[in-house]
Amino acid sequence: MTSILVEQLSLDFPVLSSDARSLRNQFIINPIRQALALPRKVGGEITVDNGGTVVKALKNINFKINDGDRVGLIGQNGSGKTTLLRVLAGIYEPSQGEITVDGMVLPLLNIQEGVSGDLSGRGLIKKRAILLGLNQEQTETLTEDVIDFCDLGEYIDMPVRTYSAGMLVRVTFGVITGIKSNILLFDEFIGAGDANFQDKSKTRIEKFIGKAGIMVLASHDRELLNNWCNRSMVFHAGQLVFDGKPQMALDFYDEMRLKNGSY
Amino acid sequence: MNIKQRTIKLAVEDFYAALSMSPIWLAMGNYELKERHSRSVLGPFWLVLSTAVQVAVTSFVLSILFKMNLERFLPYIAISLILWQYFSNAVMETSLTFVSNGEIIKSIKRPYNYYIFLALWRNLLLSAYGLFIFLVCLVIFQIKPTINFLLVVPGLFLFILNVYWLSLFLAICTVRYRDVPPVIQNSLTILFWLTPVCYRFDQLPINAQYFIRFNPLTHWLEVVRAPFLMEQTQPISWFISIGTIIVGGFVTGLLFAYNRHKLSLWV
Repeated sequence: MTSILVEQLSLDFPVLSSDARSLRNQFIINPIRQALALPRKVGGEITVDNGGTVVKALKNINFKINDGDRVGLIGQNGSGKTTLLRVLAGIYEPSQGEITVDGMVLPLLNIQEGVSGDLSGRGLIKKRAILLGLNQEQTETLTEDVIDFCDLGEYIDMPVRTYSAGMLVRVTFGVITGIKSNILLFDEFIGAGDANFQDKSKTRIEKFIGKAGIMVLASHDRELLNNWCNRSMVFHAGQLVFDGKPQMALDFYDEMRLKNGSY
Repeated sequence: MNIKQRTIKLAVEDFYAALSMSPIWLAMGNYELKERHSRSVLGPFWLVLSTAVQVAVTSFVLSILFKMNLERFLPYIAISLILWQYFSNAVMETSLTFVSNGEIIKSIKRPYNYYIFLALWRNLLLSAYGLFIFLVCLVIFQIKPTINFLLVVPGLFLFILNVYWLSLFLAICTVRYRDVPPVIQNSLTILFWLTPVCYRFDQLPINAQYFIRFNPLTHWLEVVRAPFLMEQTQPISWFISIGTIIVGGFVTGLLFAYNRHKLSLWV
Protein backbone atom coordinates (compact mmCIF):
# COMPACT_ATOMS: atom_id res chain seq x y z
CA MET A 1 0.00 0.00 0.00
CA THR A 2 1.94 2.98 -1.22
CA SER A 3 1.15 6.38 0.16
CA ILE A 4 2.66 9.78 0.79
CA LEU A 5 1.53 11.76 3.82
CA VAL A 6 2.65 15.36 4.23
CA GLU A 7 1.72 17.26 7.38
CA GLN A 8 2.39 20.96 7.99
CA LEU A 9 5.45 20.79 5.84
CA SER A 10 7.58 23.89 5.61
CA LEU A 11 11.01 24.35 4.11
CA ASP A 12 13.28 27.32 4.69
CA PHE A 13 15.89 27.78 2.05
CA PRO A 14 19.06 29.66 2.90
CA VAL A 15 20.09 31.81 -0.02
CA LEU A 16 23.73 32.49 0.60
CA SER A 17 25.23 35.61 -0.88
CA SER A 18 28.78 35.44 -2.16
CA ASP A 19 29.76 37.37 0.95
CA ALA A 20 28.21 34.71 3.17
CA ARG A 21 29.96 32.00 1.19
CA SER A 22 33.37 33.43 1.86
CA LEU A 23 35.27 32.04 4.85
CA ARG A 24 37.62 34.99 4.73
CA ASN A 25 34.80 37.53 4.81
CA GLN A 26 32.81 35.84 7.55
CA PHE A 27 35.62 35.27 9.99
CA ILE A 28 38.20 37.91 9.19
CA ILE A 29 37.01 40.86 7.11
CA ASN A 30 33.54 41.40 8.58
CA PRO A 31 34.58 41.17 12.22
CA ILE A 32 37.33 43.70 11.47
CA ARG A 33 34.83 45.98 9.79
CA GLN A 34 32.51 45.63 12.73
CA ALA A 35 35.27 46.41 15.19
CA LEU A 36 36.26 49.50 13.21
CA ALA A 37 32.58 50.45 12.80
CA LEU A 38 32.91 50.43 9.01
CA PRO A 39 29.77 49.90 6.91
CA ARG A 40 29.28 46.39 5.50
CA LYS A 41 29.77 46.08 1.79
CA VAL A 42 26.60 44.53 0.49
CA GLY A 43 27.29 44.40 -3.22
CA GLY A 44 23.78 45.27 -4.24
CA GLU A 45 22.19 42.27 -2.56
CA ILE A 46 19.61 42.09 0.15
CA THR A 47 21.40 40.88 3.25
CA VAL A 48 20.29 40.04 6.73
CA ASP A 49 22.74 39.63 9.63
CA ASN A 50 24.95 36.77 8.49
CA GLY A 51 24.75 37.91 4.91
CA GLY A 52 22.07 35.58 3.68
CA THR A 53 18.34 35.67 3.16
CA VAL A 54 16.06 32.82 4.01
CA VAL A 55 13.37 32.04 1.48
CA LYS A 56 10.31 30.18 2.68
CA ALA A 57 10.21 27.77 -0.24
CA LEU A 58 7.33 25.71 1.14
CA LYS A 59 4.77 26.97 3.65
CA ASN A 60 2.60 24.66 5.69
CA ILE A 61 1.79 22.08 3.05
CA ASN A 62 -0.71 19.35 3.88
CA PHE A 63 -1.88 16.48 1.70
CA LYS A 64 -2.21 12.73 1.44
CA ILE A 65 -1.52 10.82 -1.76
CA ASN A 66 -2.89 7.29 -1.95
CA ASP A 67 -2.03 4.35 -4.11
CA GLY A 68 -3.37 4.70 -7.59
CA ASP A 69 -3.04 8.49 -7.56
CA ARG A 70 -1.43 10.21 -10.51
CA VAL A 71 -0.83 13.72 -9.25
CA GLY A 72 0.07 16.71 -11.39
CA LEU A 73 1.81 19.74 -9.86
CA ILE A 74 0.95 23.07 -11.42
CA GLY A 75 2.32 26.48 -10.65
CA GLN A 76 4.44 29.28 -11.94
CA ASN A 77 8.20 28.98 -12.06
CA GLY A 78 9.50 29.35 -8.54
CA SER A 79 6.23 28.38 -6.86
CA GLY A 80 7.75 25.36 -5.13
CA LYS A 81 7.05 22.38 -7.42
CA THR A 82 10.64 21.25 -7.82
CA THR A 83 11.32 21.92 -4.15
CA LEU A 84 8.38 19.76 -3.15
CA LEU A 85 9.52 16.96 -5.46
CA ARG A 86 12.94 17.10 -3.86
CA VAL A 87 11.41 16.85 -0.40
CA LEU A 88 9.36 13.84 -1.55
CA ALA A 89 12.56 12.31 -2.91
CA GLY A 90 14.30 12.79 0.41
CA ILE A 91 16.84 15.23 -0.99
CA TYR A 92 15.70 18.15 1.19
CA GLU A 93 14.59 17.59 4.75
CA PRO A 94 11.67 19.62 6.12
CA SER A 95 12.38 22.61 8.36
CA GLN A 96 9.02 22.04 10.00
CA GLY A 97 6.38 19.36 9.69
CA GLU A 98 6.48 15.70 8.78
CA ILE A 99 6.59 13.65 5.65
CA THR A 100 5.85 9.92 5.67
CA VAL A 101 6.50 7.95 2.50
CA ASP A 102 5.38 4.38 2.16
CA GLY A 103 6.89 2.76 -0.92
CA MET A 104 9.99 2.81 -3.08
CA VAL A 105 10.63 6.22 -4.54
CA LEU A 106 12.29 6.66 -7.92
CA PRO A 107 12.85 10.31 -8.68
CA LEU A 108 13.46 11.57 -12.16
CA LEU A 109 14.41 15.17 -11.62
CA ASN A 110 17.38 15.67 -13.88
CA ILE A 111 17.75 13.93 -17.22
CA GLN A 112 21.39 15.04 -17.53
CA GLU A 113 22.38 12.86 -14.60
CA GLY A 114 25.40 10.72 -15.41
CA VAL A 115 26.03 12.30 -18.79
CA SER A 116 29.70 13.00 -19.32
CA GLY A 117 32.37 12.89 -22.00
CA ASP A 118 31.92 10.42 -24.82
CA LEU A 119 29.47 8.18 -23.01
CA SER A 120 27.12 6.49 -25.50
CA GLY A 121 23.40 5.91 -24.98
CA ARG A 122 24.14 2.27 -24.27
CA GLY A 123 26.82 3.32 -21.77
CA LEU A 124 24.45 5.72 -20.05
CA ILE A 125 21.88 2.98 -19.57
CA LYS A 126 24.52 0.73 -18.06
CA LYS A 127 25.86 3.50 -15.83
CA ARG A 128 22.44 4.42 -14.50
CA ALA A 129 21.63 0.76 -13.93
CA ILE A 130 24.80 0.35 -11.85
CA LEU A 131 23.98 3.50 -9.87
CA LEU A 132 20.52 2.17 -9.13
CA GLY A 133 22.05 -0.97 -7.69
CA LEU A 134 21.46 -3.55 -10.41
CA ASN A 135 23.88 -6.43 -10.80
CA GLN A 136 25.57 -7.51 -14.05
CA GLU A 137 22.76 -9.80 -15.21
CA GLN A 138 19.98 -7.36 -14.38
CA THR A 139 21.89 -4.60 -16.18
CA GLU A 140 22.15 -6.71 -19.34
CA THR A 141 18.43 -7.48 -19.33
CA LEU A 142 17.53 -3.89 -18.65
CA THR A 143 19.83 -2.57 -21.40
CA GLU A 144 18.18 -4.79 -24.01
CA ASP A 145 14.74 -3.86 -22.81
CA VAL A 146 15.46 -0.13 -22.84
CA ILE A 147 17.18 -0.12 -26.25
CA ASP A 148 14.12 -1.84 -27.61
CA PHE A 149 11.78 0.68 -25.99
CA CYS A 150 13.76 3.78 -27.00
CA ASP A 151 13.67 3.00 -30.68
CA LEU A 152 16.76 5.09 -31.40
CA GLY A 153 18.33 2.68 -33.89
CA GLU A 154 22.06 3.15 -34.32
CA TYR A 155 22.01 6.39 -32.31
CA ILE A 156 22.11 4.32 -29.17
CA ASP A 157 25.83 3.89 -29.68
CA MET A 158 26.54 7.54 -30.33
CA PRO A 159 27.68 9.92 -27.56
CA VAL A 160 24.83 11.16 -25.42
CA ARG A 161 26.08 14.72 -25.69
CA THR A 162 24.90 14.64 -29.33
CA TYR A 163 21.34 13.68 -28.38
CA SER A 164 18.40 16.03 -28.55
CA ALA A 165 16.40 16.58 -25.37
CA GLY A 166 13.71 14.25 -26.66
CA MET A 167 16.16 11.44 -27.31
CA LEU A 168 17.59 11.79 -23.83
CA VAL A 169 14.08 11.70 -22.40
CA ARG A 170 13.48 8.40 -24.16
CA VAL A 171 16.58 6.80 -22.73
CA THR A 172 15.95 8.12 -19.24
CA PHE A 173 12.35 7.09 -19.31
CA GLY A 174 13.22 3.65 -20.50
CA VAL A 175 15.67 3.14 -17.65
CA ILE A 176 13.54 4.21 -14.77
CA THR A 177 10.52 2.28 -15.81
CA GLY A 178 12.69 -0.79 -16.01
CA ILE A 179 13.53 -0.54 -12.30
CA LYS A 180 11.40 -1.84 -9.48
CA SER A 181 9.69 0.94 -7.64
CA ASN A 182 6.18 2.12 -6.97
CA ILE A 183 6.48 5.89 -6.55
CA LEU A 184 7.62 7.87 -9.56
CA LEU A 185 8.52 11.54 -9.38
CA PHE A 186 8.94 13.52 -12.60
CA ASP A 187 10.06 17.10 -13.00
CA GLU A 188 8.86 18.72 -16.20
CA PHE A 189 10.70 16.72 -18.83
CA ILE A 190 8.07 14.41 -20.23
CA GLY A 191 6.86 17.15 -22.53
CA ALA A 192 10.07 16.94 -24.54
CA GLY A 193 9.10 13.60 -26.02
CA ASP A 194 7.08 13.58 -29.27
CA ALA A 195 3.41 12.54 -29.41
CA ASN A 196 4.18 8.99 -30.46
CA PHE A 197 6.63 8.62 -27.61
CA GLN A 198 4.20 10.11 -25.12
CA ASP A 199 1.61 7.46 -25.93
CA LYS A 200 4.17 4.71 -25.63
CA SER A 201 5.39 6.14 -22.33
CA LYS A 202 1.94 6.35 -20.88
CA THR A 203 1.35 2.67 -21.58
CA ARG A 204 4.71 1.80 -20.09
CA ILE A 205 4.04 3.80 -16.94
CA GLU A 206 0.67 2.20 -16.46
CA LYS A 207 2.23 -1.21 -16.80
CA PHE A 208 5.07 -0.21 -14.54
CA ILE A 209 3.38 1.22 -11.52
CA GLY A 210 0.18 -0.61 -12.24
CA LYS A 211 -2.80 0.04 -10.07
CA ALA A 212 -0.97 0.32 -6.78
CA GLY A 213 1.66 2.85 -7.64
CA ILE A 214 1.87 6.60 -7.25
CA MET A 215 3.09 9.12 -9.76
CA VAL A 216 3.79 12.78 -9.04
CA LEU A 217 4.58 14.94 -12.01
CA ALA A 218 5.34 18.64 -12.34
CA SER A 219 4.38 20.06 -15.69
CA HIS A 220 3.16 23.06 -17.64
CA ASP A 221 1.69 20.85 -20.37
CA ARG A 222 -2.11 20.90 -20.06
CA GLU A 223 -2.82 17.95 -22.28
CA LEU A 224 -0.31 15.88 -20.39
CA LEU A 225 -1.88 16.80 -17.08
CA ASN A 226 -5.37 15.94 -18.32
CA ASN A 227 -4.28 12.69 -19.95
CA TRP A 228 -2.03 11.33 -17.27
CA CYS A 229 -3.32 12.63 -13.96
CA ASN A 230 -6.39 11.97 -11.86
CA ARG A 231 -5.53 14.76 -9.43
CA SER A 232 -3.75 18.10 -9.53
CA MET A 233 -2.28 20.45 -6.98
CA VAL A 234 -1.73 24.13 -7.66
CA PHE A 235 1.17 25.89 -5.97
CA HIS A 236 1.73 29.57 -5.54
CA ALA A 237 4.70 31.12 -3.72
CA GLY A 238 5.35 27.97 -1.73
CA GLN A 239 1.77 27.36 -0.70
CA LEU A 240 -0.68 24.69 -1.79
CA VAL A 241 -3.68 26.65 -3.05
CA PHE A 242 -5.75 24.02 -4.80
CA ASP A 243 -6.04 20.22 -4.66
CA GLY A 244 -8.56 18.49 -6.92
CA LYS A 245 -9.38 17.25 -10.41
CA PRO A 246 -6.91 18.28 -13.15
CA GLN A 247 -9.31 20.33 -15.27
CA MET A 248 -10.63 22.19 -12.22
CA ALA A 249 -7.07 22.80 -11.05
CA LEU A 250 -6.18 24.25 -14.43
CA ASP A 251 -9.22 26.52 -14.34
CA PHE A 252 -8.28 27.67 -10.85
CA TYR A 253 -4.74 28.33 -12.00
CA ASP A 254 -5.94 30.39 -14.98
CA GLU A 255 -8.22 32.43 -12.74
CA MET A 256 -5.39 33.03 -10.30
CA ARG A 257 -3.11 34.24 -13.06
CA LEU A 258 -5.73 36.66 -14.32
CA LYS A 259 -6.29 38.01 -10.82
CA ASN A 260 -2.61 38.42 -10.02
CA GLY A 261 -1.75 39.72 -13.47
CA SER A 262 0.70 37.90 -15.65
CA TYR A 263 4.33 38.40 -14.69
CA MET B 1 13.98 9.47 20.44
CA ASN B 2 14.83 13.12 20.84
CA ILE B 3 16.23 15.39 18.16
CA LYS B 4 19.88 14.99 19.19
CA GLN B 5 19.68 11.21 19.06
CA ARG B 6 17.87 11.31 15.76
CA THR B 7 20.48 13.63 14.25
CA ILE B 8 23.30 11.27 15.23
CA LYS B 9 21.32 8.26 14.06
CA LEU B 10 20.77 9.73 10.60
CA ALA B 11 24.48 10.51 10.26
CA VAL B 12 25.45 6.97 11.28
CA GLU B 13 22.88 5.55 8.89
CA ASP B 14 24.37 7.65 6.10
CA PHE B 15 27.78 6.12 6.80
CA TYR B 16 26.54 2.54 6.83
CA ALA B 17 24.30 3.06 3.82
CA ALA B 18 27.33 4.29 1.86
CA LEU B 19 29.35 1.27 3.02
CA SER B 20 26.64 -1.07 1.84
CA MET B 21 26.77 0.64 -1.55
CA SER B 22 30.40 -0.49 -1.91
CA PRO B 23 29.82 -2.61 -5.05
CA ILE B 24 28.52 0.57 -6.67
CA TRP B 25 31.28 3.01 -5.80
CA LEU B 26 33.96 0.39 -6.33
CA ALA B 27 32.62 -0.19 -9.85
CA MET B 28 32.10 3.53 -10.50
CA GLY B 29 35.66 4.30 -9.41
CA ASN B 30 37.07 1.79 -11.88
CA TYR B 31 34.75 3.09 -14.55
CA GLU B 32 35.60 6.76 -14.00
CA LEU B 33 39.31 6.04 -14.22
CA LYS B 34 38.84 4.22 -17.50
CA GLU B 35 36.83 7.16 -18.79
CA ARG B 36 39.59 9.57 -17.84
CA HIS B 37 42.11 7.69 -19.92
CA SER B 38 39.82 6.83 -22.81
CA ARG B 39 41.24 9.36 -25.24
CA SER B 40 44.88 9.30 -24.23
CA VAL B 41 47.62 7.35 -25.97
CA LEU B 42 49.54 5.98 -23.03
CA GLY B 43 46.55 5.74 -20.72
CA PRO B 44 47.23 4.83 -17.11
CA PHE B 45 50.81 4.03 -17.98
CA TRP B 46 51.30 7.78 -18.20
CA LEU B 47 50.87 7.99 -14.44
CA VAL B 48 53.48 5.33 -13.84
CA LEU B 49 55.88 7.14 -16.11
CA SER B 50 55.36 10.55 -14.58
CA THR B 51 55.72 9.22 -11.04
CA ALA B 52 58.89 7.41 -12.01
CA VAL B 53 60.41 10.54 -13.54
CA GLN B 54 59.47 12.66 -10.53
CA VAL B 55 60.97 10.19 -8.11
CA ALA B 56 64.15 9.80 -10.15
CA VAL B 57 64.80 13.51 -10.53
CA THR B 58 63.94 14.41 -6.91
CA SER B 59 66.11 11.62 -5.53
CA PHE B 60 69.00 12.50 -7.76
CA VAL B 61 69.03 16.21 -6.94
CA LEU B 62 68.46 15.77 -3.21
CA SER B 63 71.00 13.01 -2.85
CA ILE B 64 73.59 15.39 -4.23
CA LEU B 65 72.46 18.28 -2.02
CA PHE B 66 72.30 16.17 1.13
CA LYS B 67 75.41 14.22 0.14
CA MET B 68 73.51 11.00 0.68
CA ASN B 69 73.75 7.55 -0.72
CA LEU B 70 71.31 7.32 -3.64
CA GLU B 71 70.64 3.65 -2.98
CA ARG B 72 69.32 4.31 0.48
CA PHE B 73 67.60 7.52 -0.48
CA LEU B 74 65.68 6.68 -3.64
CA PRO B 75 63.26 4.08 -2.22
CA TYR B 76 62.52 6.47 0.64
CA ILE B 77 61.73 9.31 -1.75
CA ALA B 78 59.70 7.00 -3.96
CA ILE B 79 57.34 5.82 -1.24
CA SER B 80 57.16 9.28 0.35
CA LEU B 81 56.20 10.99 -2.88
CA ILE B 82 53.64 8.33 -3.76
CA LEU B 83 52.00 8.57 -0.35
CA TRP B 84 52.12 12.36 -0.39
CA GLN B 85 50.55 12.47 -3.84
CA TYR B 86 47.74 10.28 -2.63
CA PHE B 87 47.24 12.48 0.38
CA SER B 88 47.20 15.78 -1.47
CA ASN B 89 45.14 14.56 -4.43
CA ALA B 90 42.65 12.76 -2.21
CA VAL B 91 42.17 15.69 0.16
CA MET B 92 41.94 18.25 -2.63
CA GLU B 93 39.58 16.24 -4.83
CA THR B 94 37.41 14.88 -2.06
CA SER B 95 36.92 18.27 -0.45
CA LEU B 96 35.37 19.39 -3.75
CA THR B 97 33.28 16.28 -4.27
CA PHE B 98 30.00 17.60 -2.88
CA VAL B 99 30.27 20.78 -4.90
CA SER B 100 31.18 19.03 -8.15
CA ASN B 101 28.40 16.48 -7.67
CA GLY B 102 25.95 19.24 -6.76
CA GLU B 103 23.50 18.51 -9.56
CA ILE B 104 23.35 14.82 -8.76
CA ILE B 105 22.93 15.50 -5.04
CA LYS B 106 19.90 17.60 -5.89
CA SER B 107 18.39 15.01 -8.19
CA ILE B 108 18.58 11.78 -6.20
CA LYS B 109 18.89 10.87 -2.55
CA ARG B 110 22.18 9.16 -1.87
CA PRO B 111 24.28 8.94 1.31
CA TYR B 112 26.84 11.76 1.36
CA ASN B 113 29.53 9.32 2.38
CA TYR B 114 29.03 7.59 -0.97
CA TYR B 115 30.66 10.54 -2.73
CA ILE B 116 33.51 10.59 -0.22
CA PHE B 117 34.20 6.85 -0.52
CA LEU B 118 34.05 7.10 -4.31
CA ALA B 119 36.59 9.92 -4.45
CA LEU B 120 38.95 8.22 -1.98
CA TRP B 121 38.74 4.94 -3.88
CA ARG B 122 39.37 6.59 -7.24
CA ASN B 123 42.50 8.25 -5.91
CA LEU B 124 43.61 4.99 -4.32
CA LEU B 125 43.43 3.31 -7.70
CA LEU B 126 45.51 6.09 -9.21
CA SER B 127 48.13 5.66 -6.50
CA ALA B 128 48.24 1.92 -7.05
CA TYR B 129 50.14 2.61 -10.24
CA GLY B 130 52.73 4.50 -8.25
CA LEU B 131 53.07 1.68 -5.75
CA PHE B 132 54.02 -0.52 -8.61
CA ILE B 133 57.02 1.75 -9.23
CA PHE B 134 57.99 1.50 -5.60
CA LEU B 135 57.92 -2.28 -5.61
CA VAL B 136 60.21 -2.20 -8.62
CA CYS B 137 62.56 0.03 -6.60
CA LEU B 138 62.57 -2.46 -3.75
CA VAL B 139 63.69 -5.17 -6.11
CA ILE B 140 66.30 -3.05 -7.88
CA PHE B 141 67.88 -1.83 -4.66
CA GLN B 142 67.70 -5.31 -3.16
CA ILE B 143 66.00 -4.29 0.04
CA LYS B 144 65.59 -7.37 2.16
CA PRO B 145 62.03 -8.15 3.26
CA THR B 146 61.56 -8.21 7.02
CA ILE B 147 58.70 -8.97 9.37
CA ASN B 148 57.96 -5.24 9.58
CA PHE B 149 56.34 -5.49 6.17
CA LEU B 150 53.33 -7.17 7.77
CA LEU B 151 52.41 -3.84 9.31
CA VAL B 152 51.72 -2.37 5.86
CA VAL B 153 48.06 -3.33 6.00
CA PRO B 154 47.24 -1.84 9.42
CA GLY B 155 49.39 1.16 8.52
CA LEU B 156 47.50 1.80 5.30
CA PHE B 157 44.24 1.32 7.14
CA LEU B 158 45.11 4.02 9.67
CA PHE B 159 46.36 6.31 6.93
CA ILE B 160 43.18 6.03 4.91
CA LEU B 161 40.98 6.51 7.98
CA ASN B 162 42.78 9.76 8.76
CA VAL B 163 42.44 10.94 5.17
CA TYR B 164 38.74 10.01 5.35
CA TRP B 165 37.76 12.13 8.32
CA LEU B 166 39.85 15.06 7.14
CA SER B 167 38.32 14.93 3.65
CA LEU B 168 34.79 14.72 4.99
CA PHE B 169 35.43 17.68 7.30
CA LEU B 170 36.84 19.76 4.46
CA ALA B 171 34.09 18.69 2.05
CA ILE B 172 31.46 20.01 4.43
CA CYS B 173 33.38 23.28 4.89
CA THR B 174 33.79 23.66 1.12
CA VAL B 175 30.06 23.35 0.48
CA ARG B 176 29.40 26.17 2.91
CA TYR B 177 32.45 28.36 2.30
CA ARG B 178 33.56 28.40 -1.29
CA ASP B 179 36.98 29.90 -0.68
CA VAL B 180 38.20 26.88 1.28
CA PRO B 181 39.84 25.01 -1.64
CA PRO B 182 42.56 27.64 -2.21
CA VAL B 183 43.25 27.56 1.53
CA ILE B 184 43.67 23.77 1.31
CA GLN B 185 45.92 24.11 -1.71
CA ASN B 186 48.22 26.55 0.03
CA SER B 187 48.25 24.52 3.23
CA LEU B 188 49.27 21.44 1.29
CA THR B 189 52.17 23.28 -0.29
CA ILE B 190 53.38 24.41 3.13
CA LEU B 191 52.81 21.02 4.72
CA PHE B 192 54.86 19.36 2.01
CA TRP B 193 57.95 20.99 3.45
CA LEU B 194 56.92 20.71 7.09
CA THR B 195 56.50 16.95 6.74
CA PRO B 196 59.39 14.56 6.21
CA VAL B 197 58.71 13.78 2.55
CA CYS B 198 61.88 14.91 0.79
CA TYR B 199 64.02 14.31 3.82
CA ARG B 200 64.24 11.87 6.69
CA PHE B 201 63.12 12.89 10.14
CA ASP B 202 66.57 11.92 11.43
CA GLN B 203 68.24 14.40 9.12
CA LEU B 204 66.71 17.28 11.00
CA PRO B 205 68.56 19.11 13.78
CA ILE B 206 67.13 18.37 17.25
CA ASN B 207 65.20 21.63 17.70
CA ALA B 208 63.60 21.17 14.26
CA GLN B 209 62.70 17.59 15.14
CA TYR B 210 60.88 18.86 18.21
CA PHE B 211 58.76 21.10 16.00
CA ILE B 212 58.09 18.65 13.16
CA ARG B 213 56.99 15.98 15.62
CA PHE B 214 53.82 17.95 16.24
CA ASN B 215 52.77 17.65 12.62
CA PRO B 216 50.34 14.70 12.55
CA LEU B 217 51.18 14.07 8.91
CA THR B 218 54.69 13.08 9.96
CA HIS B 219 53.13 10.17 11.79
CA TRP B 220 50.41 9.39 9.28
CA LEU B 221 53.05 8.86 6.60
CA GLU B 222 55.38 7.03 8.95
CA VAL B 223 52.97 4.19 9.84
CA VAL B 224 52.68 3.29 6.16
CA ARG B 225 56.14 4.16 4.95
CA ALA B 226 58.22 2.33 7.54
CA PRO B 227 56.66 -1.10 6.87
CA PHE B 228 57.06 -0.56 3.12
CA LEU B 229 60.73 0.19 3.67
CA MET B 230 61.02 -2.88 5.89
CA GLU B 231 61.86 -0.63 8.83
CA GLN B 232 60.44 -0.57 12.30
CA THR B 233 57.75 2.02 12.96
CA GLN B 234 58.22 4.34 15.90
CA PRO B 235 55.47 3.62 18.46
CA ILE B 236 54.77 7.34 18.79
CA SER B 237 53.50 7.30 15.20
CA TRP B 238 50.98 4.59 16.02
CA PHE B 239 49.73 6.54 19.02
CA ILE B 240 49.36 9.80 17.15
CA SER B 241 47.70 8.17 14.13
CA ILE B 242 45.14 6.39 16.26
CA GLY B 243 44.68 9.46 18.42
CA THR B 244 43.94 11.73 15.48
CA ILE B 245 41.41 9.22 14.14
CA ILE B 246 39.56 9.29 17.45
CA VAL B 247 39.62 13.06 17.92
CA GLY B 248 39.25 14.00 14.26
CA GLY B 249 36.60 11.36 13.72
CA PHE B 250 34.61 12.63 16.67
CA VAL B 251 34.74 16.28 15.61
CA THR B 252 33.97 15.44 11.97
CA GLY B 253 31.18 13.13 13.05
CA LEU B 254 29.52 15.92 14.99
CA LEU B 255 30.01 18.43 12.18
CA PHE B 256 28.50 15.99 9.72
CA ALA B 257 25.60 15.03 11.96
CA TYR B 258 24.51 18.60 12.61
CA ASN B 259 24.98 19.89 9.07
CA ARG B 260 23.96 16.87 7.02
CA HIS B 261 20.45 18.09 6.31
CA LYS B 262 21.73 21.47 5.17
CA LEU B 263 24.24 20.15 2.63
CA SER B 264 21.71 19.73 -0.17
CA LEU B 265 20.40 23.22 0.54
CA TRP B 266 23.87 24.80 0.46
CA VAL B 267 25.22 23.04 -2.59
